[in-house]
This record gives sequence, structure tokens and C-alpha cells, in this order.
Amino acid sequence: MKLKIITISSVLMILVLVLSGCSSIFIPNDTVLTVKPAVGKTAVIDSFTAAQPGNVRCFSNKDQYILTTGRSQTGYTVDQYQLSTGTLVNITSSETPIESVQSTEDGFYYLRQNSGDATHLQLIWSTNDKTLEKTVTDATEMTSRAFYAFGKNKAVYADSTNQLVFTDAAGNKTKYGLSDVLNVTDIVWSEDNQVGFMTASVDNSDNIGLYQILLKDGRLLINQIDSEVISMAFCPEKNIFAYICQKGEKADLYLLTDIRSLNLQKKLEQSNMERMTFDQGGDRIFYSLSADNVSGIRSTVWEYNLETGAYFQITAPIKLTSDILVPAKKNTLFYSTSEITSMENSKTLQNIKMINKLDYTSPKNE
Amino acid sequence: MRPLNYHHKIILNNLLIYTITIAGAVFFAVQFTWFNSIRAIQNDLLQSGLDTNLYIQQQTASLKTNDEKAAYLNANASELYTSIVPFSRCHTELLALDGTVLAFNGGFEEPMHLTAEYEKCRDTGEPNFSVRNDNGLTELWMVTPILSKDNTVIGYTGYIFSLATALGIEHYLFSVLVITGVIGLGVLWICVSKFSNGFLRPIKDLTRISAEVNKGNYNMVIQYKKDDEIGDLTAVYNTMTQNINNVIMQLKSERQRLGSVLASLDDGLIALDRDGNIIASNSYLKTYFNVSNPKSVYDFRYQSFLRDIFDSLKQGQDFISEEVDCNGLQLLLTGSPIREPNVEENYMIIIRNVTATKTFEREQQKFISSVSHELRTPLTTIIGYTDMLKRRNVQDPQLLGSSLDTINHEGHRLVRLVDDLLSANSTQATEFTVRLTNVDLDALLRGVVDQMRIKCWQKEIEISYKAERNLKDVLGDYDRLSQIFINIIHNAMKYSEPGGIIDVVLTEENNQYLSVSIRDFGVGIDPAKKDFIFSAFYRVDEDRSRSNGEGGAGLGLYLVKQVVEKHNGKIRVDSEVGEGTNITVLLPVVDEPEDAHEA
Repeated sequence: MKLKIITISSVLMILVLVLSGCSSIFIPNDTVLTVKPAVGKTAVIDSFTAAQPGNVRCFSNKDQYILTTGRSQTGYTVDQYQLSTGTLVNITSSETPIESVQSTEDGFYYLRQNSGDATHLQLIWSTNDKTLEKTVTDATEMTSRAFYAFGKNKAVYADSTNQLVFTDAAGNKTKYGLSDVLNVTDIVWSEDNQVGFMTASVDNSDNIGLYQILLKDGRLLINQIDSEVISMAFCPEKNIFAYICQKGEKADLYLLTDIRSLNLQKKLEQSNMERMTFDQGGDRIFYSLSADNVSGIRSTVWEYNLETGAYFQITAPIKLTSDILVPAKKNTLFYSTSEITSMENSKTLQNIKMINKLDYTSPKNE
Repeated sequence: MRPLNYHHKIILNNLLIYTITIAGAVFFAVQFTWFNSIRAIQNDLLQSGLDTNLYIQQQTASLKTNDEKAAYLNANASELYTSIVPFSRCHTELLALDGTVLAFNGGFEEPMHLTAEYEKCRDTGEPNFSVRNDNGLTELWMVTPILSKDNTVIGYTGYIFSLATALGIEHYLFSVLVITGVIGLGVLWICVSKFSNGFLRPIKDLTRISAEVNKGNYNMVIQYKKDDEIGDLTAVYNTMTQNINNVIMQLKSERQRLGSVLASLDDGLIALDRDGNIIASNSYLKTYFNVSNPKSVYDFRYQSFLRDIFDSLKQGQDFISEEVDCNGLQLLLTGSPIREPNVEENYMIIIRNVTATKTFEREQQKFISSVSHELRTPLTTIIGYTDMLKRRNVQDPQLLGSSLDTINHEGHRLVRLVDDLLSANSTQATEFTVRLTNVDLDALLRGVVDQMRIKCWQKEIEISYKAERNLKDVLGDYDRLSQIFINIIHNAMKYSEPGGIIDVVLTEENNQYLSVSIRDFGVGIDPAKKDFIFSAFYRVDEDRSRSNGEGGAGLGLYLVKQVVEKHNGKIRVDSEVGEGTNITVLLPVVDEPEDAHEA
């Protein structure tokens, strides 16, 4: 009898609670509650400037400036952003859009669209003072934007015939065949180790795979490392390599300290990881996260310390348009953002890319 | 109200458990879903707050003091607001240090006053939120501090996030769970009903068969072949009923056997328990005491001796024996206790009918007495005469001759007496045989009559013989048949007065028997004694039979009856006191073969 009363009372109580409008017993209505922030740490912004237009590309060989690309009234430019003064000096210009710029020992390579042919690109090497400029590729040789400059004015790129081409500034080339099904999207190379990495899709699928490429006995060897790769980065100063790949709903960041081996170390796991770069010293990785909770396409920039494993947010959501360049051992970011004008609602979006310089202090370890 | 049966209890219990479980699951599922939704929204808004912090830090990085930063915030609220609005997908407000709304939008015409949240945020320095339900709208209100690089608050960001979507999801989840729960309840009801029916069926069978077993039908078997606990139970139950059936059959057989043994006893038997209830008995109780189906010793109202014996045994007597007269019978009752280890003490009374024994003893005594007397009488005469002759040295031939005649006569009498005793003894022997041959009864009787005529003449009795012609033979022992007719005629002589007549007539009766009728016209037999004249040692008139010098042991007619019966014949006595006696012997004829007749 007692059990029946208890049982019936429990049932009624539960029914009342269930049917009472489902008010949460854990979060009562009209009651102010303090929240302990569960989100991650953030840097402290020390200074910020966004004075010059341009898209940040790479550090120059001597680290005195950053090579940027921009628009001028006459066309497309490669500029030098002076680190000391923050001024912009034009080096070269082109009538066609400049896709990419990478510095070498004595100059830089840049990739531009062919005139009147946006599908083909040309790789051009130039001295820093633009006294010498050479078009390294033929008119139809390149369709992929994948190229990497290294060493003394050398570069490696994937041509339109699925060959990996090693070239120097004079245009002397060595070609290695790749599989016909591979479409190279990005490439890095270590001349010292004769090892590189490339990302490629198979038959133009959306799945981008990561491949290690080795030159051995005059032959090019390719080993697939992973799939669904989002981005990769190489630090020639330390010969270390890292990449980000999608794993389910999250992305993983892997580090390879010995680029000849495949001893991968998983360093980080976060959602919405995008592009990444090493700082110049190879001590930190800077990467962007797509900000889901904001309107528009924005990303936040994060730092990951390879030594301590600590990571934190540096910027608010920004419209990042470039890689993040960070000098060795400095808490300074150089990156470009897109500033949307009032013409946002028109069919033509006008992007003004601005070079941002941000100094910050790392959060204290608690 | 009639209590619920087990079937309904199973269903109700399962439905109740299911309902409680589902209700609890729904409740907690909804609560946790709501909680997690709020948490997710909180985290998004906290992130928005962090993003706002970083942005404003970035924008105010060049300013040195917190006051300048706060002032900058106030002065450039609109531009700052425009930049931070994209950081969240909800109504956002920029608040000054004092809580004043510096900028707002998000489709609201007026700023929302997040006063309580602001005040608590101001007091704690931490983000604060609340869930509000106002005008049918459920919203999450949150205020986060805007911190400068040294964690000084320079302003606040307020967020109002509509929980309509989350609430919709929660309601949808609730509806789905409830509908699923109700459907599940129905499915459960059907499944439990079916399952419980199947589960209870063997139990119902068990109940039904138990009722049959209770009625005494032990051959019932429960048909349940599944290999589970119920199967084990039914297997054991079937084995148990089978064993019970076997034991009962065995007990019945034992009881029948016991009954047969008891029935085959020549004595009556009563077995009693300590309360006097009858455990076992046989049919002699009815025979001796005329009591049917007694249940206890106290049912014998007129046989108090049974109760007395029972009481004596109960008091500890080990053996008791008593002779009683009951309903014309002499009974010997012996009682003793039945003692077995681990069994309650019971009692047994054996009832033996000793009437015949007593009668025999009395007859035996009478016979001995009679024989003694019969033996003594001639012996006394012989001794007397021999003593006289010896003592007196009788020389007279006439006296000597008569004395010797008397001695001879008495000697013959002794011999006859001994012969009768031997004949009677031989008829009791199992090897008493008759040599059967075809006997011409007419010739036999003529010889017997001629033989007895002399004796009859001596007693002045006339004996006549008549026979029908062409009579058939009988199958018999010539000598024994001669003897019996001699005995009958002798008996007739004994009880006839001088001058009497004895008629012997031989006829055929019903073409099956030859009838020998020996009729005397003597004293006759008292009808009360007529049935005893063929009993051994019985003499109708003791004094008379001794006084006329004939005597006898009373075996003559007894022997006649034995021999007649041995010949498959019959004997009949018709007598009236003072009119005489007619003894008729019927002997079956021998059927002649047809060819003989034809011959």
C-alpha cells in the first residue's frame, strides 16, 4: 500500500514537472546567474595599425621588409612593406593579377596570370631591385598556383602536364613526372633534405591529399601521408613541417620534426582550423579559425606554441585575406584583411586589403 | 472491488514502470537539452564577448589610460558597435561603465534595459546572464565586461538572444518523446499482454492440473516443452505428480493386497490407533458383530469387550486374551500393541471363532466318554464272567456254555466297536478311497437283508425286501455299500421294539437315481435332533442305545453319510416320534451305452 502511494505520487510529480511548461530546473527563469567563462585564453593587444593597403605575402630574404601585392591605378603591384618604417615601396607591377609572391636569396618569384588567359599562369623571377627579371615558365606551362621558392633563387612548381619542375632563376629545369590523376594545389621543398610535401586532389575531387615527395637516385618518390588536408606549412629554418587536416567535425594539426620520416605528432585539435604558418624561427604556429558565431566570413587568429603546447586567440574575427607572418621570437603579426566598403550591397564587392600590424602580449599561464 | 489478477498486475506494473521511466527520461532529456542549449548559447555569447574585447583592445591599443579608453568607447560607440555587431547573431548593445546604452540595434526600436544583468556584472566583474520570459518571448540576456589590457572594465556588452529556436527544438523534442512514449506504451501493452499470456499459460495449466490432482486425477501432464525456468518447473511438477500417482497406485495395490490378506484370514482383525479409530479390519467384523463399516472401536455398541480390550492395551498391557459369547458364537479375542520405531503405537485385536473347536472339544469329550463307557461295558462283562469262571471253577456245562457265549458276544461287540472307530477314522483320512465298479444294487440288498434277517429274527423283528424289476446298476464300492445298508438296518433294529417291522425297498427315481428306503416303525426321532443323527459320535437316545446291549460310538450313520457322499449320492431322513423312521439313500445310476440297450 505504501509502495503504491509512493509510486503514484512520484508519477504525478513527474507528470506535473513534465507538463509544467518544461521550465528548466537547472536554469531558473528571471534569475541572474554568473557565468564562469569556459572559452579559451586570449592575448592582450598592445598595439595595432592598419595603415597601408596590400596583401601580405612573405618576408623578404633579409627580413627587412615584407613583400605584398596590391592594386594600383595601372594594374597589379608587388610592393615592399618596410618593417621599420611601415612604408610601402613598389617593386614591380603587372597588367594581370599577381597570384602569389615568394622571396629567394637574391630576389623573389611571383606568379601572375597570363595576359588574356586567366587559366594559365607564368612564373617570373625578379631581383629585389627589379634590375633583372626572367619569366621562367612558358606561356602554357602553368595552370596550377602551386609553386615554392627555395635556396638560391630556385623554385619548384607543378606544370600543366602533371610534372614537377625544379627550376632556377635562369630557367634551367629538371622535370619529374607525377601521376596523371594528381592535381597539385600546393608544394613546399627542402633543398637540404631533398624532401618536400605537396597537396593534391585526385581527379579534381574535393578531397585534398597530402604527399611526401622524395628525390632519390634521380627518381621522384611519392608517399601519401593523409587526406582531407586543409593547409600545410614548412619552416626551412628548422626543417619542420606541419599540416591541418579535417577529422570528423574537428581539425587536427600534425607536426613532422623529421621531414624524411613519417613520424607524425598530433599537436592540436580544434574545430574550423584554416590556414597556418610557422613564425620565422619555427617556434610557433599561427593559424586561423573560421568564426561560426559571427556574420559573414571571418576568422580569428591563434598562436600555438610548439614548446609549451599553449594556444590562445590573438585577434577578434577579421576578414583575413593573407597568411599570417610573424617574425622569430616576436609577438607581432603581419596580415591583411579585407575591408568591405559601403558598396557591400552592390553586385561588385570592393575589397580594400589592408596590411595590419598587431603587437600583443601572450596571456599569463595559470 | 475484486483484486487484480496476476495477468493484470503484470501489465499494470510494466506499464507503470514504463510510464515512470519514460516520464523521467522525457523530463531529464528535455531539461538537459534545454540546459545544453543555454550552455551553447552562453558559450557563443561569451566568445562574442571575447571577440569584442579583443577588437576594442585593438582599437584602443594606442590609448594609454583606461579612462581614455572608456571615453573612446563612449565617443566612438556607433563605429565600434558597427564593427562588433557581426561578432554575434543577436541583439547587441554597447553599454558604458555606468550602464548607459551607448549603441544598440538588432531590430529593436528602443534599447533593452539589461539592468539586473549589468548590475551583477558590474558587481562581480564576470559575465552574467538570465533567462527571461516576457510577453511570450523567451530570451537569454547576457552582459559581459569589456576589459582593457590590464583587465580593467571600460564598458559592457549586452546581448539578447532569442531562445525561440531552442524552445522550438525543446518543444519538438518533448512532443517527439511524448508521442514515442505513448506509442511505446501501446506497443508495450500489447507485448506485455501477449507475453504475460504466454507466460501465465503454463501457470494456468499448472493451476488447472493441480485442481485435477486435488480431485484425485494423478495422470495429468502439463505440456510445456520450452527450456526455461517454467519448463523446469513443469518438468518437476510432472515428475512429482507421476511419482505421487505411482505411490498412490502402489499404496492402493498394497491396500488391496492387505485387504486380500485380511480377507483371507480365517480370523477377524481390527487394527486401532491410539484414539480408537480403526486403521484396518476385515469382513469378519460384520459376520461376528453385525456392524457395517465401523470407524472406531466405539461404534461397537453391543461389544463392550472390544472397548475393554482397547483400554487395557492403551494402558500398557502387552497382551490380553479373552473368550466371549457373542451372537451364539464363541469367540477368542487376543489383543496386543503394535510398536514400530518412529511410529505412533497402535493396537491389534484378533477375533477367532472357536465355536467349532469348542463343539469339537465337547464332542470329543463326549466321544471319549462314550467310547470309554462302551469299551468298559463289554470288558467289564468279559472280566466279570472270566473271573466268575475262574473263581468258581464252574463245571456245569450249561453255565459254562452260556458264560462263554456271553464272553464271546461281548468280545464281538468290542470288535465291532473297534471296527466302527477304525472305519470312522479311515473316512477322515484324505486317502479314503472307494473302489468303483458297476454294482447290482438289488443283489447287494438281497444279500444284506438275508444277512440281517437272522439278527432281526433274534430280536423278533420282521424284515422285508422289495425291489423294482430291471433296475440299472450303480457305480460304487460293493463292500462299503454293503456296510452302510447293514448300518442303517442295524440302526433300525436298535430303535425298533420286538414285533416290529423293517421294510427295505429299492426303486428307481427320476431315471437318474436308485432309491433305497429302509423303514422302521420304531420310536422315531425328535425333529429337533433329526439333523444331528449323521454327526459323528451322536446318539439320539444315549440310555436306550446302551441299555439294550447294542451301544455304539454314534458313528454308524455318520459313516453311512460319508460313504453315500463319496458315491455322489444323497441321504434323507424322514421320522416322526412314535411312528418310526425312514432313511432313504439315493445313488446315481450308471448310464448304459446305447448299443448295450440295443443289444
